[in-house]
Amino acid sequence: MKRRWGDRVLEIGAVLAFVAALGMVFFYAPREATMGDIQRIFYFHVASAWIGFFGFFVTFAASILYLATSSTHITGGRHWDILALSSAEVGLGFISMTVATGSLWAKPVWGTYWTWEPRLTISAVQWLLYVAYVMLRGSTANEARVARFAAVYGILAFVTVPLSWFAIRWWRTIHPQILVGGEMALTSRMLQTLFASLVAFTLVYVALLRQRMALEWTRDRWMATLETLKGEG
Amino acid sequence: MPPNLLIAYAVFCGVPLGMAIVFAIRRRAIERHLRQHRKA
Repeated sequence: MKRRWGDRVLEIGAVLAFVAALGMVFFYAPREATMGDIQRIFYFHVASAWIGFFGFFVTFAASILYLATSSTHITGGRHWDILALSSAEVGLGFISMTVATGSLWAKPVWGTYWTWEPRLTISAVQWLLYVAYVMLRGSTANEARVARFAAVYGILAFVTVPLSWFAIRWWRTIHPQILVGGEMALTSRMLQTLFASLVAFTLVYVALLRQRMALEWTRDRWMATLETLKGEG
Repeated sequence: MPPNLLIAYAVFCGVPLGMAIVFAIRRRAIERHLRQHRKA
């Protein structure tokens, strides 16, 4: 399958936005007074977490649509299934980066790479749940059954996203908050850098999602070819 | 610059790039199989 020129433009745009955001993190955003340069991890860490959460939301929504259309739709809702599994895989990549870089930030600031406080504990559970989802999708058992089970799993696993979001508000936690008393605890340059990082990560997410979906469509064509060959043999 | 900051940004650059490379390699491998079967 030839990839469309739109995908190429999207990929180039994502790379340019990523490089621009990287430049802003190191040369535009001011040095934070208390933490110093290590605070610069924050911009990509937060953007990565938000896009990871968005990726899991797409899996959640696509799983509902798959279950709603799989019995009635001519194509069996396969496109929703592909969207759900692709978004979970890409989202897991973003959440993995969030967890790893959060630990790298925590060592000089908290004095430890990891502590079992509410936000970090929920993040660990969430990461394991989506690793299990990806492993489930790699199963060679009956594909339609696996897809239905994964759709239900994808809907239930999404509960970790609001839990993680509200963990720093509901429970006593040492994880920093961006919103303090309804206001952003950032200067305007910091906010602009965070916004640029968010735009860059959104473009990277869409480009990776389209690439992963193209891989799955190609795999479907390969499976169809194998079925035809079996029929002829 | 603190070393943890540089490692973190290496992770931010490496993971998306790694994912893009893995997806492209897997897709091209399947496409190659498809082309070979069409020729046969």
